[in-house]
Amino acid sequence: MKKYITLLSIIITITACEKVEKPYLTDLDAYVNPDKKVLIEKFTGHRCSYCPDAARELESIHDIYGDQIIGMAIHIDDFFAGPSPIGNAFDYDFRTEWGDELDENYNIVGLPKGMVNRIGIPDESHILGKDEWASVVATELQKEIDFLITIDADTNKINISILLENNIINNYKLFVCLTESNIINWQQDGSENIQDYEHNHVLRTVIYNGELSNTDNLLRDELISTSFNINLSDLEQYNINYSENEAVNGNGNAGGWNASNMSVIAYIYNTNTKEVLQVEEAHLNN
Amino acid sequence: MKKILCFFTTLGISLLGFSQELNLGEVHGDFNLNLQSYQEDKLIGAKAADEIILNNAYLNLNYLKGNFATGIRYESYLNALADYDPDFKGNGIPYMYATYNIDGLEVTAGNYYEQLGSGLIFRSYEEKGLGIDNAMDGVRVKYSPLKGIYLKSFIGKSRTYFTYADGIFRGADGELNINDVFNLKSKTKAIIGGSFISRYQKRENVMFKIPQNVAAYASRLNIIRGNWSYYSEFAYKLNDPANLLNKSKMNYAPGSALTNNISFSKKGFGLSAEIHRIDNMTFKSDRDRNGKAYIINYIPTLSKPHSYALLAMYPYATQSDGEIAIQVDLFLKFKKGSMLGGKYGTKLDLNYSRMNALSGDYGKSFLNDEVDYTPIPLCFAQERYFQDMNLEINKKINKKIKTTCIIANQTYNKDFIEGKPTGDYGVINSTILVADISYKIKNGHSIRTELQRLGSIQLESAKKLAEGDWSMGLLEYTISPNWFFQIQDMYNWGNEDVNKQLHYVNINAGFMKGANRFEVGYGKKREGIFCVGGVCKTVPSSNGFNLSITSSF
Repeated sequence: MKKYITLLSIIITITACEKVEKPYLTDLDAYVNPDKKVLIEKFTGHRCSYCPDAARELESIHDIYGDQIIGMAIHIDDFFAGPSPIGNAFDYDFRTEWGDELDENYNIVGLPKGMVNRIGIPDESHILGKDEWASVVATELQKEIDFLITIDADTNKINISILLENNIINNYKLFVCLTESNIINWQQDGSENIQDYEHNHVLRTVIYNGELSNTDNLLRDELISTSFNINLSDLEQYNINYSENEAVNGNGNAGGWNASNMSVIAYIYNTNTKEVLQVEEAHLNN
Repeated sequence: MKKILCFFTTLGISLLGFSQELNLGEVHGDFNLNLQSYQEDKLIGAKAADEIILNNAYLNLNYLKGNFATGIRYESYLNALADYDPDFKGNGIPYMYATYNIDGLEVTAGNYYEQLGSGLIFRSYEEKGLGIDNAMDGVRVKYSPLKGIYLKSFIGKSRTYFTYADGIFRGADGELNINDVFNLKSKTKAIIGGSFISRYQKRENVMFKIPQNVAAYASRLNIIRGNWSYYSEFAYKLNDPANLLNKSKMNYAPGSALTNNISFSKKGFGLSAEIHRIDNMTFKSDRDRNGKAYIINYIPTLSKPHSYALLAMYPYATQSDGEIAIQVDLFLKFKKGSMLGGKYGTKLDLNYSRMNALSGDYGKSFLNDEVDYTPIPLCFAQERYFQDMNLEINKKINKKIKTTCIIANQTYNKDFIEGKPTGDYGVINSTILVADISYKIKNGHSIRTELQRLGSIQLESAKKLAEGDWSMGLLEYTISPNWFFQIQDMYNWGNEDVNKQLHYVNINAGFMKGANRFEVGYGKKREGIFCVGGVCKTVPSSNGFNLSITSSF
């Protein structure tokens, strides 16, 4: 009897296994790579009456995918983003030298417009209306990644670490900038002029836009680490000077930065196609 | 607390019952205490402990009477030593069991340790030095219906710290000693065995199919004839993907392990050759957790275990995800009176081991909707993880002096083995010399010294500098059978960073009497890797006093 009990328990045991067969992915359309992050560059202006709709679209997409969506609001266009004389409504100048460069480089026509990871540059379909963003985001989030970016930052120094997920030929550049949220200022929203509108993800300054690494081949598991010393007062003054001396109809009212509301955005883009491969965001005092 | 009361009540009733027969059985036990203070030492990067003193202790109590045994282990981590996983925290009785054996059937309920074959698919064991204890909690039956036939089956969950992992394991094993079963008188002895294990873990994944029952099986063969012995084991693990959402990281490939060992030995001569190929054989008690506490199988390393400090400075950790490894060991003993043996004989041990990656970018089998890759079966051309060539000579010079000399050359892929980013440290090649000399001063008094030197280079350009060259000296005075005193210094004189050219001095003294042993010490320990049998842990640098007590009855 004892041997039958032992044998029976052995037989029962060896039937306990499962082999699953392809396809392993149960719902391809719903798939999201949890490591992939997507940059939405939203071109806007405080006198652009439809731009708040684009901001709300960006927040809606963020609500769905969470921190995998990183937004950046770039105020461009002298008509929509130019400031009034100081002392009047709309007298703040959100424009920056880098925003104006992006406007020029990517031929942004009409507001609001946006780019999702700058997809579509070769066939000039990269400028998207707000209603086109979500479908591109869904496609982008299915892509596999070559880079994992981590940011460690405070008001004096930004440390960026990039871990290579695959062996790749170095055809990439790194872009590091600062954005600010919770800026309360004027915004036209439809037919209304709102005095206490909350501006989020506003591009403030660019820290770095250059080579990712000085080697031609990047190896899987390689860690690229780089650091940037920053002086927020100097960077803020640079924007003030730009507004005062170079921007069309600028008035120099481009300061008042609040470091506690600022974030670092770092992204890696392809030098040829300009596609943003991976992006990361961290609070300035993380 | 209820468990403790319940146990002692049961034990009391048992003792009462047995006392009626005036045979109370036997109680055995052992106790171990390790206590260390931690001071801050910025030079070596040692951190102070908030508690100042950390402590690991345990007490085993076993009761035996005839075919019945029961026991408990009380463990105390207040708080655990710094080189232990901090999840070992608090006090408790994580181990208790009762077992009896009657007419060839052994039944165990509670905690038990178990191993199937050499452990390729399952090993539940305790290794205090590494902080590993994955004891099972459940029931086990073993039965030997006939001479030469051994069957066992068990079910249980695996211990992790003071709790149990999510997975439920069901295991079985059968072993046949062919000569015993068929009553063969042949000089050739053959033992065959087969084992099976299955883990159940309920998991749901919104994106991917996940098997809830993951099985692995193994077969083994051991043939012994005269001075020859051959052992082979093959293991196979079915699809065991991690519960992820990332398409590129999902891996449904099966795992496999093949190990072969052949050895020959006769008086004064021994030769052993071993090869194994491991592919995707990490098997965990919880598919969602990482860390050695959750590893439920064991792949023995093919590198020689070294006890001398500088020889063990760059130890190898078995890569259960994928490796191909060989080891050859030659042992010679030159007779007394021969030219090489001299008056007292000479022992020589020559050892070579090498571990390489499996082929391909993944370094293991990989299967998902987009990738289907299986590494080349036999290939040593891939990335080298580790290599060790060493020669050990043991020589007694005269009645008072005994020596051990070792020369070794080791190649250590620091980035890979320690999980550093590629290019951080690269590959380190070390040449190590060891001289161990014992001198018997008079009866009961002996002195022993160790002199070691390690010279190392980084074989390729790397972002960070390794530690460079080391020397080590040790002096030990023993007054048998009670006392020993020891002082040692490890000196990192070759560190390229002059601020890190540091001494690590340790002083120890021990007293032994009967079944009790006490040891106290003070010193600095360097940050490093400590391994037992290819399983490793990271040891942080430390500076402080230590006390160790062991006792048994």
